Amino acid sequence: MKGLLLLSGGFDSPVAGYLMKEKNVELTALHFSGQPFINDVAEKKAIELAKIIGCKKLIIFPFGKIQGEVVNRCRHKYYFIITKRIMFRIAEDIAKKENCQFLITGDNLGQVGSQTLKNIAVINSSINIDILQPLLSFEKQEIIDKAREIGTYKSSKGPEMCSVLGPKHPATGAKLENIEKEEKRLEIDNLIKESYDNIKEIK
Amino acid sequence: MFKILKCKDKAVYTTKLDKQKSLDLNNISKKFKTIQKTPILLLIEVDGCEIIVHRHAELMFKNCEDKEKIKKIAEMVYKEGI
Repeated sequence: MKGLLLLSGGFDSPVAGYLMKEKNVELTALHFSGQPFINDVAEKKAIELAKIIGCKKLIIFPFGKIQGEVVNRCRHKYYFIITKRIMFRIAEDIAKKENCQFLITGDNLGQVGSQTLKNIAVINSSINIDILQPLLSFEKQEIIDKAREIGTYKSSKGPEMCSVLGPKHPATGAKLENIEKEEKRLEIDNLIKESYDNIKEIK
Repeated sequence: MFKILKCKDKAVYTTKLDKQKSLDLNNISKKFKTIQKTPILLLIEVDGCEIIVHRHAELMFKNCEDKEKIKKIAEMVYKEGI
């Protein structure tokens, strides 16, 4: 079995990937780069983490321009939901190209304000591929302990410039129809197509 | 007028005004080389440094550790934005 791991530079996604690898899933990783709105530290951390957990390949997708367009055109409180839905669409497309049967994410309920069950349902509804979220009910401390055990703690802990585009008060109970209405303001397919030109692959 | 400190994730230097104010991003974007523009922030380049200029008057220096240079640039940006 092959899975596409959505890999950030933080604690959760490497642990999620590792847990699935323990279940004999071959991992390809996908990192969404927020440059130019952040520096390159998260990208470097993702490269390190992909090596530690034994991903066969890391794909780095340039996502900054899309994030900027979401801020420019959509209601700001929906920023996290809309950007994540777009990430999932891109991930679904890449998973098909890479012959991955499902996506793997480090989503964890309630860790940040926007990670509510309602929001997760709206986000997951944007795609038709299965999504495995092995950390959904984990406590943060459990994730950190596991990160120490598997050797990703040090890389994940390193300081990383936080995203500056998110709202202070994100929506916590988004309705699908509202999100779809907002998304119509974007030319999503064109934005994704343009970004594909600058995709990077590291083996 | 402003203080220089590390951002909450300790990753980069940031400057914050002592008194809460909003910045005129349009004026700043006219005066400095602007790489990206959104309604809530700009990404500008000054003297080789890339800086996120947030509407709520926080500046984040993506690639500069020189506090003297940060001070000088922040003074110039705030002068145009306030």
